[in-house]
Formats: sequence, C-alpha cells, structure tokens
Amino acid sequence: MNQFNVWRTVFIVGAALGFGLCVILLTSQEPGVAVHAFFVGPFSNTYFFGNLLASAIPLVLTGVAACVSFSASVLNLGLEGQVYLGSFLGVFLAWRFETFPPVVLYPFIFSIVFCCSGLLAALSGYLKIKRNVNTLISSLLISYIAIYLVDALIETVFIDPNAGMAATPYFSDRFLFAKLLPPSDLHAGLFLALIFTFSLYLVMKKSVFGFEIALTGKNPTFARYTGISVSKILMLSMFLSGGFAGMAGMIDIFGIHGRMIRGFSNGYGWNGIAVALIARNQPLWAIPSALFFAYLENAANVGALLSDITPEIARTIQATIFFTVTAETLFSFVRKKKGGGAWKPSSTASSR
Amino acid sequence: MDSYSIEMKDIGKVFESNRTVALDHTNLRVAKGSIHALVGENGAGKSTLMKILCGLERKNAGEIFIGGVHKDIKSVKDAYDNGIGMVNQQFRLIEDYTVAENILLGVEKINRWGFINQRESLRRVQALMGTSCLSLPPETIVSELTMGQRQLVEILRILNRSVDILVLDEPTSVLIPQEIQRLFLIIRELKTQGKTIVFISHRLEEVFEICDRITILRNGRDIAEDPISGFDKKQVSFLMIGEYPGALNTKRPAKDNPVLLKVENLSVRDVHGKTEVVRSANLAVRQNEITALVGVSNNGKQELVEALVGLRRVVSGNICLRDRELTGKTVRDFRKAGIAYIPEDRTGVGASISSSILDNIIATKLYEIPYSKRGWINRKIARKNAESLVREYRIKGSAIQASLDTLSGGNVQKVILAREISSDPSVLIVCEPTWGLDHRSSDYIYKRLAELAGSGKAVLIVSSYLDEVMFLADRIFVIYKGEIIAELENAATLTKTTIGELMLGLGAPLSYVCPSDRQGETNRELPR
Repeated sequence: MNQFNVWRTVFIVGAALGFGLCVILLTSQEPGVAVHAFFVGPFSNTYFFGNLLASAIPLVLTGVAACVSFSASVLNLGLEGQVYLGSFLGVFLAWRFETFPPVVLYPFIFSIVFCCSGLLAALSGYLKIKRNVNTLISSLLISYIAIYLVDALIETVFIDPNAGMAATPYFSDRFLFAKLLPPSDLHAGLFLALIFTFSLYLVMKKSVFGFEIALTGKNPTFARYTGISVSKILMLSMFLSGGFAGMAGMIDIFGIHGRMIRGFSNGYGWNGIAVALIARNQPLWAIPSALFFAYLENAANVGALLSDITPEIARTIQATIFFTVTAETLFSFVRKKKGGGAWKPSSTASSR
Repeated sequence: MDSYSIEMKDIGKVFESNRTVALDHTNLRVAKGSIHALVGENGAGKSTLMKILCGLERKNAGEIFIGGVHKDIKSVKDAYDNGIGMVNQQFRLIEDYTVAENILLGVEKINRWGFINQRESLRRVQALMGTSCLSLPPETIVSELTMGQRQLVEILRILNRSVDILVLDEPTSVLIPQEIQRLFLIIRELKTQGKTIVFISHRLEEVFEICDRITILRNGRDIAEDPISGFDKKQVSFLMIGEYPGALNTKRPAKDNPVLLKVENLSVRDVHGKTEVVRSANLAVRQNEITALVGVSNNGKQELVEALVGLRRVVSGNICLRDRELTGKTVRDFRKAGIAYIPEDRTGVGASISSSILDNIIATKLYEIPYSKRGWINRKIARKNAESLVREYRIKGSAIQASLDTLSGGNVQKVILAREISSDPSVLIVCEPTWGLDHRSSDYIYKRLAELAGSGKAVLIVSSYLDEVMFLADRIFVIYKGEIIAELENAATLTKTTIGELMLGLGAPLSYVCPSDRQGETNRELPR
C-alpha cells in the first residue's frame, strides 16, 4: 500500500467510527457509559479480547479469499456459500471418521474441504470460460444453492433432536482445536489463519503464479499476449478463493462450535469482501482489516452487555464502511489527478 | 494587408497542466485563396495553433486578424461566424446517421412541431453539393462509406456553415494513395472556388505536391514562411527537425536469403468462428530482410498476424519457424521458438498500463531461468534487466517502479520494443511501428528494426503507412479479402500506386472523376 491508500483507509475507518459515535450519542440514555463500553470494552479483559481475536480468524481467511479472486478481477461473491459448504463437510468428515487420530484426520479433512469449496467456486469460473456467464452472478446464485442444500441436510438427515435448534450433533471433542486464552473462544486456528495468509502473501508477491494472477487482473488481453492462459488463471484463482473460504468456515467450527449450526457463519463471506476492499486486495493487510471488523462486532456486543446500546450498532457502522469503501471511484479519481503531477520531478530530471 | 485571409501575430500559449510553452510568439500569415502548408514535428505546435484559430483553445497572448479585421475568437461558433472551419484528424461523424443527417448535424431545420423537416434537409444538402461540386449519395449510412468518403462528409459539413477558410489536420493519414489523389482534386477545386486552405501534414511529398506556401514550426516558433517553390524537401526537413535525419543504413546482405518463418495455406476464422477471414495464405519471412504485410483494414491482416504469434486458432495450414512446426501451439511456445510481437494496440494489448515498467518488461520473460526458478521470481535479476533496458532504450522517467500510465506514448512504445527485442527473437512481428510517433522517435524505431534485420534476424512489419513500407521493406506481401494476392520485391520500379491498387483488389488503375471534370489530373502518380 502506498501512502495515499493508507490515508484513504485511515479516513474510512475514522469516518465510520465517528458515525458510530454519533449514533451512540443519539440513541443512548447514558452516553458516557455506552461510549466507554463500546470503545474500551473489548480490550478490558482477556475474555472479551480473546473473543475479539477468535472472531477475526474466519474474517482473515474470507478476506484473503476475496483478495485472491479480486486480484484476478473475477468477483467471487459466493464466499458465504463456500464457507458454509466447507464447515458442513468438515463436521461430516470429523463425525464419519471419528476413530482416526487427529494427526491423520486434520490433513485429510483440510485437503478435502479445501478442494470441495474450491471446486464450488471454480464452477463459476468454468461457466465464465465455457458459457461466458458473469462470475459475479453465478457465484452468488451457486452459493445460495449450496447454503439451502446444507440447511436442508442439517434440518433433515443430520439434525440433533436434542439440540433444540437446527444443528448437527457434536463431533468428538478430541478434534477441537486447543484453546489459547481460556475462558475466551480464542483457539489454535489463529496460527492456521496466519500461516495461510502469509503463504498466500508469498505466492502473490514472489511467485510466477502470483504475477500471472495480478497481470490477468490488470489487463487480461495483455496477459494473453504474454502467453498466460487466462482461463486457467481465472479457474485457479476462483478455486483458491473458494478453498480459503471453506477453510474459514471449517476452522471456525473446529475452534469454537464443534458442530454445524444453521446460520452460524453470520456473514463471514460478506464481511470478507469488505475486508478485502479495505485491504486493497493485499493479503497481509487483510489481518488488520479483519481485526477492525471483528472489533466492531465485539464492541457492539460488549456495549450491549454493559450499557443500553444494541448490537445493531455494529451493522450501521459496517454499512457506513461499505458505503465509503465503494465510493472508491471518487478516490481513484482524486488519485489520478494527483498522480500525474506527483511523478514529474523524477521524469524531468532523467536524461534523454 | 488585405490580401491575407488569416493573420496570427505573436501568438503565445502555455499549458498550465504540465507547464509547457506550446506556442512562443508564433506568427502565421495565409494569403487569400491559397493552399498553405503548416508543417512541423509532433509537438511543434501545429495543432495548438489551429485549435486557437478555430476556437477550441484560448490563446494567452497575441492577436488574430481575419480578412484584415481584428477578431477575438472565443468559441467554435465564433470561428464559424468568421468563416473558419476545421476537419480533424479523427472524424467526428455519427456512424449510424445518413450523410445528409451528418452534414446538417446541429443546424437542422426544425418545423413548428419540433420535428426535422426531412425534405427540406435533403434539398439543402443537394443544393450544397451542387454549389461545391462535391457529391455523395445523401441517404447513405455513414458506416458504409470509405474513409475518403467520410472525410468528404466532414468537409461538406464545414462548407455548409459557409466558411471561407478550411483547416485540414493531417487529412491524408487515414487514406490510401488513390483516395489521397482524390482529396487533392477536391482541395484544388475548393481553391478555384476562392476558399483558403490550411493543410497540416508531416508527409512532405504531399505538401510539395499541393501547397502554394509553407510555414514551418519548430518548438512552438515559426521559423520560416515562404512560397513552397523556394524549398526542397531536404531543406524543409532540416528546418523542421533542426538537423538532417541521419542516413539510415538499410544495406543488408543480398537477396535469396533463407526463409525463417514460413506460412503455408493458412486459414483463420474471425472472432465468432463463423467466416474465414484468412484463406489459404502463403507467406515467407526471410532472414536478414524486412518483410512487409500491407492491406486495407478488415481484409484479414490483423487476424493473420494474430495467428502468426499463436493468439488465434488456425483452421488449416501450417506455420513453421526454421522447419519447426508451430501450428496449434500456445503463445508461449511461439515466443520460446523465437517469435516476438509488437501489436498495433500498445496500451490495450501490448502492455498493462496500470502496471510498472518493471512488470511490463519481465511479463514475457518470467518463465525462464534466471528470471524465475521453480515458479519463484528472482526480483533482483528482473530489476537489473529492466534497469539496463531502460537505460539502453533511453526510456524517460527511468524509475522502473513507475506505472506505465505516467509515460508518454513514445516511451510506452520503447518499453514494448525493449521487451520484445531483448528476448532475442528470430522473427520480430511489428504492427504500425511508428503510429503517433514524431520523426525522432520514428527514426529511432527504424534504426532498431534495420539493426535487427541486419543481424541475421527477420522482421515482419505490418503498416498502413506506405511510405514507411517502401522505405524499410525488402519484400512486400499484399493481403486482400483474406488472401495474399501479391508478393513484390521492393525494386526501384515499384510505386505506391501499384501497391494501393493491389490493396484495393484492382488490376487496372482507378480513375476518379472529379465533379468539375478535370480529367487531366486523374492518373497522376505519387512522387516517390
């Protein structure tokens, strides 16, 4: 990220928080307490803070997933469905092969979940290549099919009658990730998320494959001219994107829930898109960006617990962010105007 | 004083956006009823001066007299009111409208219900064509017209505003030789009607053929203004550039060079895969030679080239490079085998404008050691390579991290040229090598191409600028309606007219009949 983008991001975050502050001041009976609870609450004890970190884990991964596809200029809007499919498959496999020791089971489940969610996303890529179907629309619709199918399975074949809600039975405790900061939800999946993010960063930054993705995203005609198989790159970036989204859901399940619950994902996929937009499609920036989103969510929850504001406050702030981020055209316009002049000194100084 | 139809005195123009002085005390005097040439390199200020005359730009200093009267031209409408009109290099026509609708655009007669009176319009257009001795079928849709006919529509549109002064900005750049001859007849016809014409061009032979007087601009100043008879081409070119263009060493080993790239019976379909746009084409690009492929657009030229670099699927036939079969291989195989390609659309196809110079340079080389090993890029080596190329090709704004959209068109072309030549190709295919470049950059490109051809490689240029083709090429292939209809050696007897006729698919010379019936000039040959 260059300096301009950093300032842009600071402005967006600042504007969103400022807006949140206004809403709190307008709606709360005891604004002092509410503001304190909202802004400081999440950091006040290990429980709240651990939960904040735990809820950032899936967001980092869905954010990274969105980064991959956006870098290649294919819009994977089906992250939510891929998250859902990944988590369900993870639960199913853990339940089906519960006799396996975790050391054997983890790599097995991870690869299957990654591939299946990836293929779900790659299907949109395939339709784009073969039938020129808009990826944005096809991924969104396919994702809904996946969500409703999984919902149907949870509510019929795999329902736990004792749960009192649409959820599957728990799988064996042995498979749950270790807790890092009890009593909070923070789990060892954090390291997995960091490893995934960092390896994707390396691939995007240093590998030929990453270069191909970025070039295809910037100018597919030129990419084809240089000998890149554009359709292959489209498919692969969709596959990777779907795979990461699937991992996001699965790691959340294995870290916190221990079973599949209908609607557990809580918009991870959608928020992942916003995370990627704020991170300007740069995998490493997805981490602070996801932390910020997690903070909003938790701050609203803590605020609701300790004062009289509602959790929906987080939604309004997120909505503000969506608006400011999508006003990107405005910003790039400003940048274009500035960019032309900023460069001049070095270009005139050089010899001909 | 009265004899001058236009007099521009001490015109000054500064562009604030990049703080350049475009015009610096520039003077222009055009005699009434004459054809006046305005010549100069790219960026010399020709277009800016004319835009000021036509109200498209505002001047910062100076005075304009039209017919001896001081005028302040603030808008295009002011220019029309003073009898000045301009035909731009790029036509401004609505392709789906008829000739008549385009001519009357903006000055349509509207009846009392707000509708356009079609019959009245038609009558007016016919009257206009009658008085100006220029005719075209008024109800034809513009998209069906040739470039020359479209230009005529532009001219008629301006004549309709009853102008006395016509500015033609690079009017010949899009025309084929026969159309150019026809345009010259039209210009002469307009002259006999008493119109004053300012003719902007950087093709000197045209200027010498048609113009009476000449003004030469260099770096925003007028450095000479005289009757054309006082000059020869060498002097004008010296005055324009400030130096004699370096003699190009095009001497290359004699004929009968071995064939490097051989194309046999090649057929290619269009984008939709329906019609064959290239049919059984045969082509041979020889070592140590510059070969040219010429043809009017939409005759399969572009598709053939795309097939030659692996970008387009081949229906039937073979492409061989040094006995190596390349038909059906991928773009990367073509590149690896030694084919380099500089496309016509530089910013759309030949480069990624939002990527850095570095990324653009390494984009095609990334797959080989030492630029990458086992899929990981070696940034250090890539950077070194890019830096040395930026220095070697004198690409301005030498920071390799700079994004390409901060560079000028000439420098973008140099980046592409640097990338393609540095990959050490056996055959370099280059489309429209000097489009939009000025003399200096063009000369540089010519020199590079000649060097490459002289060093045991082969160059295939695809150009619509026949002077360039005649100047560079050893051998010329003509494509017409998807077929290679001629292979010509560039001997001294070959003329542009011959090539132009072949490009149009004509065996016999074209004869254009001017409305005023001046047969004597119809079959003139272009001076070489």
